[in-house]
Amino acid sequence: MDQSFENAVTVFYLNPENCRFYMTEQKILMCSIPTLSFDARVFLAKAFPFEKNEEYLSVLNEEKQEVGMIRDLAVFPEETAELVRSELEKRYFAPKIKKIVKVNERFGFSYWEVETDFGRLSFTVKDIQRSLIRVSEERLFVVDTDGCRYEIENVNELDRKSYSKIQLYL
Amino acid sequence: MKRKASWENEPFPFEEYFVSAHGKAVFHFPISSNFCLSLIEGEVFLAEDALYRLEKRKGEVLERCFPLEKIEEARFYGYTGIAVCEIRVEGLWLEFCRSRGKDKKNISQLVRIVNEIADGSLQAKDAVFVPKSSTCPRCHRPYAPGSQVCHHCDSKKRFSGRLLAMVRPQLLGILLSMILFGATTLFNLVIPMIQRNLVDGFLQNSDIEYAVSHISSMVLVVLSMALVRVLIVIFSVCRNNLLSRVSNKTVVKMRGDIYRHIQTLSVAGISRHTAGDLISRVSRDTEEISNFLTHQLPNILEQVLTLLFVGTMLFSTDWRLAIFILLPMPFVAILFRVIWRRTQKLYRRQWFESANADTTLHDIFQGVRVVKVYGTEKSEIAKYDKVIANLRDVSVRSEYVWSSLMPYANFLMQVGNFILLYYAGTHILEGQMTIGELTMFTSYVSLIYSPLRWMARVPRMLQRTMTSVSKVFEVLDEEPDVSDAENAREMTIRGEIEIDSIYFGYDENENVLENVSVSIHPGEMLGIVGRSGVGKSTLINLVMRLYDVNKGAIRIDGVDVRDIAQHSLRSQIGVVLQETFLFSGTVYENLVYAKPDATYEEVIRAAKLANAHSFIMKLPDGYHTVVGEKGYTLSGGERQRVAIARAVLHDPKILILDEATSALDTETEKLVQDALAKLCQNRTTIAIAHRLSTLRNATKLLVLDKKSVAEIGTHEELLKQGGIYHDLVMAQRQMSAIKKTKKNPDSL
Ligand SMILES: Nc1ncnc2c1ncn2[C@@H]1O[C@H](COP(=O)(O)OP(=O)(O)OP(=O)(O)O)[C@@H](O)[C@H]1O
Ligand SMILES: [Mg+2]
Repeated sequence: MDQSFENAVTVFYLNPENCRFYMTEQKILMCSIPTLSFDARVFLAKAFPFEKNEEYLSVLNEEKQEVGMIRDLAVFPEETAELVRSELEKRYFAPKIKKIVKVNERFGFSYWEVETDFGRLSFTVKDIQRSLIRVSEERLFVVDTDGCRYEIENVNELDRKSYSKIQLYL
Repeated sequence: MKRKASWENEPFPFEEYFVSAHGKAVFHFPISSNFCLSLIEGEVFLAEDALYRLEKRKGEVLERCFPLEKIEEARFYGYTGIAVCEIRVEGLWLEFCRSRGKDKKNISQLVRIVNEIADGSLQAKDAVFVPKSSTCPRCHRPYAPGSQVCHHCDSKKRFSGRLLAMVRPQLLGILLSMILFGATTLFNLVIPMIQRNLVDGFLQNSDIEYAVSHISSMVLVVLSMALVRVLIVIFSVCRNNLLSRVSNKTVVKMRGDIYRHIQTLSVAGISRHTAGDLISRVSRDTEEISNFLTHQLPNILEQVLTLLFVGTMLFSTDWRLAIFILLPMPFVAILFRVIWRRTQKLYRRQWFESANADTTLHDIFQGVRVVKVYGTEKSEIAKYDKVIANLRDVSVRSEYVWSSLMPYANFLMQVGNFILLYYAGTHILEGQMTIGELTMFTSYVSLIYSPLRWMARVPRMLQRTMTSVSKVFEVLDEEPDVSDAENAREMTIRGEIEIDSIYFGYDENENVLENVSVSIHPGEMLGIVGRSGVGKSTLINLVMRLYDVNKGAIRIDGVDVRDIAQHSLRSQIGVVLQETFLFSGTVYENLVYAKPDATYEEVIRAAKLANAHSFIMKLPDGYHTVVGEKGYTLSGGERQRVAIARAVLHDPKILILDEATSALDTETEKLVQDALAKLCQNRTTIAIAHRLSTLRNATKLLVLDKKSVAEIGTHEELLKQGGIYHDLVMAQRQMSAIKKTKKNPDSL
């Protein structure tokens, strides 16, 4: 991508100098951007939720229109990053699967029981083949019937028993 | 209790806790919210005067309480795997609760109820809450989406009963073919007995004279054998004919049933499935079921009969020998089980992989233009190579299992024969057994292993059939959600449309349109403008009643569209959809789609009106040129004109044009517009367009913005208002001014 492309579109990246995140007493995330004379509630969305959890975050206003982007949360001081993280937590629930206890397939649905970083969870997946999102050779996401995503960070690092339960679908 | 524990941790008795502290709640439901990388179990309670959230954190129960009179409004947010309820208290929003995606129905219900309480239309004590658990109360497994039937608990018996009901007309045929199956099996089993008689009675007898004197009875035996063979042939032919008839009929009936049912579903219902999914249910699953009923089921009968008959024959002839022969049977059975366990997985894998290969191909061919344009053939080839390499590997592996284990199984089966030979040999020498009996035994031994080999496959087969059955029933169980009211009326429409403060969202929790009202008199033309994605197409979908509104009403000639018979309503509406779709077929067939009895003259008139006639006449076969997927590819604007002609051909009372002329150049558009304007004189038209000049004939303009009506009025009124429409007009004028100056720089 050459110069002309960069000139054609500019992305407004937020950084500690041009904006300030804070939380109201009601635990609502606010952001003030003096240059835009913006100071209101904001929502967050990950641009690349499968790969970047704390990078390329879109900051949206109440109308769900973007006011700016966070290229990397790491440039913000730790307290601010914490605020942003707690807001992201409200927005995304994607437990990481540590162990697969059971996968029963029945009538086109499969019933999963897994150990995750949020404890033991069970969920249903419709049409496994179409509900697996492969991000790379080893990383994948399982999408359940409620739209919740479950991450398997590395299929090769699963224990043998867990692996054998999903091997079929890989 | 044990089973439950494996699915869920023992829940904390929030209800007891709540009742002891605050008395009885109106309703309550559990939530589990993610907080600092752990899930916190809790429960939401609505009491008559307040809303409570109870949570268990670090062994303590945390309670938050909001008096209802202080809650001004509630709001639902559906995020990725999370549902959130926010409430406004004293002008400030705050998060009341959040939970995993599976509770979103409960949370959105809560939001609705709290809002109704807040605006005074509902008393908290009268609130009705229907817990929409997404898990089965019996086994705690989650339901399939859109269904409240647990496939796990739904007994197989019920399925079989419904299945039988479905094939009832063919039941007689199926029974008859089963009987024929039984008969041929029995005949097949009789042959070894006749053989024994032949060998023992005649062939083995060294007394020539005896043989000669009994030659006639020997002929009789031989003849009876021939007769049995002939009967077998006749019965098989009858059976096969019957079977193919019955199975064809069942497939056709089932497909018809499902297809008809799918047609009754609403657009929303159908789009819950992908097209491929529905196609496979209509074609593959019904095939599978019919195959089971007409082939596997009689086959089961045959195998069971063989097993029983041969078993009794063997035992009744010589039980010791029978035991010897059956000795290797358990081992054979185990071995087959092993082979099946191994290959079953591989076969499924193979199936997945081949489906995958198909999809990949489908994708590549569908997008062949994109592939060519970007010159990515090589990487596409590599992608496909990889997919088929996977398929090949799996196939090789399953072949390998078979070919390396099958010889052992065969050998084990031979062992029975060795024992037989040894045992029979000694007994024949000692004169305790005849050669005829030996012949019979050998035949039976070879017969008894076939059911065995086959039995190993039965569980898998049954499971596959049940899967198909449940998939078919799943579609059949879906209630049409946009259905005709009981007293739905047929009526002749004049064309008065009244949209009365409607609310609608594709997802029940997120409105696309809010409080939209507009009325159109017969013969008027309403133009709808607004940003892309604002809900213009959605609004006309509602007028056609492809979906039902959530709140408010749409009335045509004063009658709620929900009270008009759907076919009556739609047969009087002509639509050109934003995505013009032509069926594979001739231009003519596409034109007369909504009015099959149109005369050629009418067709040509409609085509002329849409300015399509001239280009159609240039096509190689005129109106008979095949278009659509397989045929002649029309340009975008040509397709649109065919669609316009199709819409006006059946002389609709209401004409809906969704970006119907967007792909036409301005001149052609103007021609079409003027023709339409004449046509539209006494019919109601709703037109959507981004290019405002398209709407210059509109009597009234509706500007949609932020889910609702921003402006409404005539062109002049809106211009004067100086709002969104004014800005749009100015922007587009500027645009055309620029174009003009570029074309004609002197005019500056
Ligand atoms: N079948 C559907 N299911 C779910 N959401 C839908 C569906 N169809 C449309 N939407 C959403 O509803 C909103 C309104 O869509 P709609 O098609 O009515 O927009 P529109 O105003 O016609 O836009 P355009 O001018 O681009 O045609 C969009 O946000 C769209 O994503
Ligand atoms: Mg549209």
